[in-house]
Amino acid sequence: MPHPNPTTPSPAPRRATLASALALPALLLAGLPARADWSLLNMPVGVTPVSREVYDLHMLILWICTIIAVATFGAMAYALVAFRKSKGAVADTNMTHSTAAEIIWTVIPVVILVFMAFQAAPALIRIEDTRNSEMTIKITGYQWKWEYEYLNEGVSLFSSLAADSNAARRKNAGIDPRSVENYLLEVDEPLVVPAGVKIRYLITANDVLHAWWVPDFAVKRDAIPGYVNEGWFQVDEPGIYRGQCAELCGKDHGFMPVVVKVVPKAEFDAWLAARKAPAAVAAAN
Amino acid sequence: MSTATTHGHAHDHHDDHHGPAKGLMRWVTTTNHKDIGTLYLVFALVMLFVGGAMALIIRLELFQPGLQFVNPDFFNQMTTMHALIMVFGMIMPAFVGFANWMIPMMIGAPDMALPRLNNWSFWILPFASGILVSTLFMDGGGPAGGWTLYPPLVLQTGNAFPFAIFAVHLLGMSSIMGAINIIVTIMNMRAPGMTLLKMPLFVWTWLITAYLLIGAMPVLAGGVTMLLTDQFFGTSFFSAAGGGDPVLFQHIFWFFGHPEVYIIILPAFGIVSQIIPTFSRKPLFGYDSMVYATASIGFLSYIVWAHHMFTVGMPLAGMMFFMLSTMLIAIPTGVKVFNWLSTMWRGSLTFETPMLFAIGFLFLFTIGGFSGLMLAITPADFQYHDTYFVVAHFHYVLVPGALFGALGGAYYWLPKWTGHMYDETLGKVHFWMSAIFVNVTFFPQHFLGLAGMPRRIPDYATQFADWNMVSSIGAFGFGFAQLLFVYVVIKCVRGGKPATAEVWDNPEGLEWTVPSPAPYHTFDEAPVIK
Amino acid sequence: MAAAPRNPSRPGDDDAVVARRIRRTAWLLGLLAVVFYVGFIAATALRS
Repeated sequence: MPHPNPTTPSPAPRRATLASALALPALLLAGLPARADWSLLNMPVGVTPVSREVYDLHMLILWICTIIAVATFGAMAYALVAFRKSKGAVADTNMTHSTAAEIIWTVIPVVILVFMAFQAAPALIRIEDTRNSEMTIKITGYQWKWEYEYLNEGVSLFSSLAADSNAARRKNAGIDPRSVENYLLEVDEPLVVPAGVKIRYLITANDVLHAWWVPDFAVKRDAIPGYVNEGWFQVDEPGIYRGQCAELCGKDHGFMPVVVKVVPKAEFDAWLAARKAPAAVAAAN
Repeated sequence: MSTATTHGHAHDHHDDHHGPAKGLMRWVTTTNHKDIGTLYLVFALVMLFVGGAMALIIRLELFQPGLQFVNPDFFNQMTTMHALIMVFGMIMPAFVGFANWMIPMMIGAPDMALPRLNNWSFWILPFASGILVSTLFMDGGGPAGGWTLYPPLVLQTGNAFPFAIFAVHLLGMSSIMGAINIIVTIMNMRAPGMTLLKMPLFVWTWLITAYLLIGAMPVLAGGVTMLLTDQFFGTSFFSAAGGGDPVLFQHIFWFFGHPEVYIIILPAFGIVSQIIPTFSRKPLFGYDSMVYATASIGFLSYIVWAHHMFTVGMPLAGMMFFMLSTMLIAIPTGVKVFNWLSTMWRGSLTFETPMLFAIGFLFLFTIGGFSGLMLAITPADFQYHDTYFVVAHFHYVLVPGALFGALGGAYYWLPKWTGHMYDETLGKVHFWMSAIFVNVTFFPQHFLGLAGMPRRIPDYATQFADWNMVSSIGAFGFGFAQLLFVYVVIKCVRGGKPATAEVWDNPEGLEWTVPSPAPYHTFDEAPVIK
Repeated sequence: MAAAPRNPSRPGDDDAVVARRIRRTAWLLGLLAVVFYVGFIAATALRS
């Protein structure tokens, strides 16, 4: 399923009415949501090699589970229909154990699990391989904002919830969240990174635990005071990608989004030089 | 499995039999396993509504994007307290209540081995839970760092902090004392001839649960004690600034927390293993393998804890180990599901309310098992972790898993406890409402999590609005359906069609050899097990 | 109220023997819990 291009704002969802609210459970039971937008039902494929790998693993295990579920629930449903006392079913009280059956339903799951492990383990090794990165960014979590530091470049910036979201999220603010573009998923200053570059990140926290998560990158790593965790991502497609803090970090945990702006390498170099200039001036004074 | 001669009927005319004391003091001073079982069950039912009300506050706030009803900090207090109360105040006491009522009657013992300890185990609970709930009214509010109590966030709790820790200590002590009592009862009080492999499966699952409790609860107690000394006595077990390690708390917590998951679900497995054979009119299929599967689950529960922590940054080998050990749990769990299915196979099924809950358990718990298997896959867990997918997963195993097990058990044994049949029609309505609304509540949460909604947030981006609304509607429906259960129970206690000793169609087990309602003292003389 | 009468789970044991065994098992399990509690704190202290 194609994931909507993250640079184009998604159409503002229509205002939910009580009628649609009541209709939704019925539609849910029918198996069809009101608006069959697959991006709201499934994991995003994402835009990094890792995210595509994770998505494939997710779909594989989902299909395996679905097939087992159909077989198991089918057998249960058959039993519930076929062996009803009201239909004259008589219990076969001699059917109390079968070593053969126990072996079969132990061995088959073992085989499936071994297959799954052989799919997942190499993927995990690739995900954890942070070697050969071209640049390093240090991410620090604070209550309740992120700091991004371009190591060896002398550039750093803080990134917190955008002002319009911040105004609308107050209790009884009187501002309809649907009128705010990218409500709760917009920051004042995004992290800017170059496209097509393997970026290693180091992550830590200054106060409590946080977790830096961008679903389209399939990157989620805890920010822990006193620890420096690492990971990597490489985005080939320029665009704006959004995520949130994923580890409970206090009252404004829901209000510290992650926004990553991926730009072409040349544009990034220009941006970095522009960021450095005022810093250099400040240092000269 | 046990087969008993039916000689328990004429039990209640010995001289040493005295009825319960009168009035309130009966309940305060009681050492009778049936009274204490009742106390536990009533307490759990009350706490179901306390914890449920908190869940509804959460779902009310999440009904629409934007903050309409509560502040983010109070929202966090609700998620924290909802979990603590449902785990320690509701589902664990409910199953201890079942254990108290049923284990002595199932093994042919006159009472629990340590009746006065039993009284203590219960009466600690209301005070501990009272302290826990009272923290909501303290300066700075209740604990708001999540039920996992992760430092350093939990150390930002206000005046409530030491009280919450004290409450957790007390709840843990109550559980440990209950577990000791259950183990010594099962080990020493079985009727002659009741060998271990003749015990009903509910007794088996509780025996293993009790050992898990003794292994796990002290670890939690140790963890929270260290939080307390970090906060007040200058230690730095978990403070990086003082040379400690915040991740170590997570290891300690989940070394308790994962066995805790099985502490909650194993007694439900036991209850379902009693119900399905009765209404299939067939003995439990593969009894021995059920016992071994339960024991394997108990063992595995101690070596999988770090699958809750894949994102903290473990060494690769650690992630591999915990991924593989977690996947292994699917095997004994699968064995149990297939054995329940085979018990129904070529049976003669009827669908009274307990059986409906057991079948609901079988289907819906299995869904929770599948999402659990998905979560075991470490790379995929990086996406699922701390999202609503996890919330959906553990609510599928806890609500239509553990809670349906408890509700099914309540309907199954209510006639034995009260001497009256419950209202079957209302019971079935209660089941169908619960089964439908539990899915309306929790199934959409899978979608929310996969689409990227983190858990424990009071407000969300607008694309998550529709499924949150569906989930909230389901939650209120589920909540109101449980009021119907209260009505059915009260109606059944007050009267109804008299129940026979057997209640159901030729069920297996010693508890069905005594009259309904079960006399105050049963099995003063040990029954003879063939 | 006196403790409820006890059944011998092994034929031939009298009540006093069973009562003693119950007390012994219970104390042992309680001790085990305390050992876990202290042990985990001690292990953490050594580790951090």
